[in-house]
Amino acid sequence: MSELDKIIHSPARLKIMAALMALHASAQLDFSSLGEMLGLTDGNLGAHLQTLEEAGYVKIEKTFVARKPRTYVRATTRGRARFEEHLEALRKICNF
Amino acid sequence: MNEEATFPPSRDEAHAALAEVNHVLATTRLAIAQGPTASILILWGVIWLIADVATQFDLQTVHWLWPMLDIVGMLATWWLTTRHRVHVRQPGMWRLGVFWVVLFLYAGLWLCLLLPGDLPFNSNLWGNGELAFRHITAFAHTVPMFAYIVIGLWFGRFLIWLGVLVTVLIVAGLWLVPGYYYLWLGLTGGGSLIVAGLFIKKFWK
Repeated sequence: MSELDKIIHSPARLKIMAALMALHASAQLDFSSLGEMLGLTDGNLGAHLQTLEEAGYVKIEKTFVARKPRTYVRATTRGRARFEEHLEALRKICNF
Repeated sequence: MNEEATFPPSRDEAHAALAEVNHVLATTRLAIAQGPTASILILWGVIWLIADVATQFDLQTVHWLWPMLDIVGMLATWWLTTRHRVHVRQPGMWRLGVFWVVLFLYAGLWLCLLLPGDLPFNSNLWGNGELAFRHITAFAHTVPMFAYIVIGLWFGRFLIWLGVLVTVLIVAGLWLVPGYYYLWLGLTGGGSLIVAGLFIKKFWK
């Protein structure tokens, strides 16, 4: 039974999850790239990612590339499943 | 960013949300797929064009122009790859880089073994020596095209078709235009890479 997800339903978080769903399940997207693609400021993106991480929908990994800090994000299996369910629920609303 | 989203959404809002999801999915996939590919294709197309046309007019240029342009091309490829705005980290992607290195080592080994020591220094443009050198040049040009075809198996049919097309042009030229083969390589091979890069820049948006 597909259900709407209140956490994912926020416009910004819906876009974040959509962008992460475009990747292979094991692939991670760089924080800056994600913000630039979605037109979100670092602060705004960080806040939404924290909400998604607390729900277990995304995993955030901080690392260093050429001695510079870089943050990578990926959708978890749970996040992917909830996103698919959310989309299914939206489709059902459209078809009523 | 509008944070006010009605819950549960109306039919129109659900439609709009699905459209937004599809848009983000498509643009993200394209941003990742396009990557630095277009710029790298144009770069190597220009290198082929310059080096092959120069070879047509003076065979000796292969001894200095090709190595020089290859080094410039490899450094520029590395630079283009690292400056790409969308950074995606995927476990196992390093294997792609290793594949290129192994392929070039393999091709380099056989080029060294097959290329007679006095070619093309003592070659007659219309003699057997030049014929052998022409075939070796054709082989060297098909190596990256082979890589495109293999990479295309994972990253999309566009690279497969490009690899097949340019390989066919490289081989066909051996019989179609033997006297102007290097010119043919530069114009068709290099030209195809440039056109493919421009095509990606123009239409993969």
